[in-house]
Amino acid sequence: MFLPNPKDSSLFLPHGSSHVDVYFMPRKRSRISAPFVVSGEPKQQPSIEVLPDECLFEVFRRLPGGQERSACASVSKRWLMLLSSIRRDEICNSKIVQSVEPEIQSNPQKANDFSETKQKCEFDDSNGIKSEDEEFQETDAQGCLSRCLEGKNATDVRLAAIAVGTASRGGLGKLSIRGSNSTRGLTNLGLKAVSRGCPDLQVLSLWNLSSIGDEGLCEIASGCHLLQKIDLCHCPGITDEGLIAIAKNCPNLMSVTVESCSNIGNESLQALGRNCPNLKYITVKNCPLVSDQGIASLFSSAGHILTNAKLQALNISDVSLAVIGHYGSALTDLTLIGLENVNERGFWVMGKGQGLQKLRSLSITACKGVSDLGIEAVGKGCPDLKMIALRKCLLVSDRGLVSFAKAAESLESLQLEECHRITQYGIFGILANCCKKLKALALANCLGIQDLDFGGLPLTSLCLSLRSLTIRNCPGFGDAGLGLLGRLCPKLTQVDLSGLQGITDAGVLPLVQCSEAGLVKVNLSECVNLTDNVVTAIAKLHGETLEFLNLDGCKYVTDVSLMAIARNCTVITELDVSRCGITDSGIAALAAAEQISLQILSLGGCFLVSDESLPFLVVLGKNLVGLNIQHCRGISFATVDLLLDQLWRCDILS
Amino acid sequence: MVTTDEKGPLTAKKKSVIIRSCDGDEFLVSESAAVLSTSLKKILEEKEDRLIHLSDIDNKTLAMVIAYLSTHADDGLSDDLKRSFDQEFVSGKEFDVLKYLVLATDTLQVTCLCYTVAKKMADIMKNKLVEWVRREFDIQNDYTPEAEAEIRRLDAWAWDDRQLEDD
Repeated sequence: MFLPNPKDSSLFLPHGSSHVDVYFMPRKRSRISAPFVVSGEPKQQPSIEVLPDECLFEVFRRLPGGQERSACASVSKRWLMLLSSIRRDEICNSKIVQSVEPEIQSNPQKANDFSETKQKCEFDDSNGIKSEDEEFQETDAQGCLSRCLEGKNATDVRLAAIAVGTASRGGLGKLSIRGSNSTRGLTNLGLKAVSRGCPDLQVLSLWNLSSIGDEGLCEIASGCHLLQKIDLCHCPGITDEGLIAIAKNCPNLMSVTVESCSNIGNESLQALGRNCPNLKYITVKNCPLVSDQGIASLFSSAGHILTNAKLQALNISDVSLAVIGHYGSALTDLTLIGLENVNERGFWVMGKGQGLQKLRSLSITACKGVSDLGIEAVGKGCPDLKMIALRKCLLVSDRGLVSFAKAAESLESLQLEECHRITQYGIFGILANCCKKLKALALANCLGIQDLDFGGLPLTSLCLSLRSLTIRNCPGFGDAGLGLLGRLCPKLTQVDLSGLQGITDAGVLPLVQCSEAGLVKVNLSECVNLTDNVVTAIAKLHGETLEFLNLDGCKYVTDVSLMAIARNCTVITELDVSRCGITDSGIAALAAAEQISLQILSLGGCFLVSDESLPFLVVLGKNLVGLNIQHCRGISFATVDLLLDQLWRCDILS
Repeated sequence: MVTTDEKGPLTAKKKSVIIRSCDGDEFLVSESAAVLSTSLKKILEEKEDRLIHLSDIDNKTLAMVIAYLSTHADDGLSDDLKRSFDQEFVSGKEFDVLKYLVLATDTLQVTCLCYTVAKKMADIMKNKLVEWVRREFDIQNDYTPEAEAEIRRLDAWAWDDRQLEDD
């Protein structure tokens, strides 16, 4: 470190007569690599313009506390960067004696002399050691602070200031950086400051940082051994080298997310699997260098500890799913999205692997390979599966779904979205066959569903477990199917039929009438053909349980419904009658119902509501926290102002 | 001006070295004292010459460093005595003098003196205004006004409840 090459003649220049040696001071390694001017040339007449970094470093290390260090950081950028380069353990004097002069120690001939020197110096440090103890009491850092830098605020200077400032106030535990300043962008230097000043860092999140590279991440790896969670998104400068360093140096690492990092590949995943005994959460998305090899080595090493995995838009094939199915013994949550190269065999073999014994939640989206055969095998292979969501799985049909439901005995929640081969045969097949435990069924945008007339189909067994039914935007779903659903599932408490334009009172009424448990949440928005009859029935039959009712866009719903609600409902807190045919007298009825304490009321686009409603709205407003009166053409600006004035506690959309 | 090492008479065994300051004055130092400086020790190992010219340490500073080295090279003094010497050595010294001292110790690589002086400087800097620090260290403020305001805001806690001194 000192005198890089003593024989270097340039260090000993002739001065005056030839027998006199002039000793010029060689500079020690600069503590920082920033382009700051460090006083270089020795001068004949000494004058201190700027103390060299080494001297300042020694002074800074001995500042009495974090307050002083933060204050000194305000002196100049150079001081800030220098302060940020001090590691916490370098504040400790006793350790520095050894680390400052390793070169001499490594030289056996001089070692004795050095130890003598050191011995003589030892007592000098006693003061320093004492202050160090005080220092550690003050900086009893646990990493309780959290900081987020976004866009133009993300600069090295700011990061260094955070590193210096948080060091003695609990320590930085969580750091998020979202993008970087366009002119003075964040560089590896900023991360270096973090690695020096924030040894307690547990969570690091880096998004959209092209200027950060492996060097910065390696610094983090060397300084922040307590890291538990790392999240890298759109960081093209980071390669396997950086992430491998993290994997090898941060044994507490629990959660890793890598998204759209074009230079991170299989070796990183391999290193994570081999070196991180606590890795539980892994998300890999859109990384073109990741292939089967990476996923396979990750799961073969860490399959017994990983609990949550999300794989999206990767060039992986059946092999990866086979490995997951075989080794993923600890997996509880698995999400697979947009895996174009996985075929039927992949899902089949994943289920057959018998490894996913603990899997509770499986979500598959836009994987064209998932088929009846595959989904059935998954159902058989995952005995603990409680939740499955299939989205955009175009090959899955009724047959596969029913076989799956028969096999998956623990299933509690089933979601199907844009699975166009599913029909009502499948739906009723599931409800009739499976699932003593199914609590929630959700269908959305399944265009293959047509209303089928099952006639007087005898109901052999009811589905008594189902509590929540959602059928959204399945235009083919009609009254016949709905009526049957109502008879089949008498224990429903939550019903969401939003966007079913084909249904009428004839379909909804049986469902409402069959429900024994008492409906709690009902969403009928955009069911344009429903009338007051349905709402009245709901209010009369379920008024004691109903808490949430959405009738947005039910244009045939009028004041009759509001009056029924006012008369019968006791616990309703949220009511949406936007774009319904209600008038002032309906509002008046609501306001007159003393037992009702609505918290949220939506009247958006109710053209017939006028200024006359003002006093009623004021009455209702005593309990309201949210009121929507957008596009109510009948309500004047003056009335809106009065409302805003009187209902100051309520959030009013106008 | 040639000063002899006052702490002990020169003998044939105790070799001595002449150190010349940038002002041209020469100091006679025992080799046992000189080798406490890592830099001087290296030079002595390389060269037979007994004259070393230090081009960037002035008389006053060099005299102080040599006094320190000589004291610490004296095996007759107990550690306690040396420790109290150190306290005495830095106490009451002007900040400016300390700056030259710490620079000299860095040049000569006298680690323990460097630590002692740095500690003293750090103690003096406690509770001082940033302006004081800039003046004493002759630092150019290279922050933009916005950046400085931001840094001060980030570190606002460092300024709370403190009586800061400007002298």
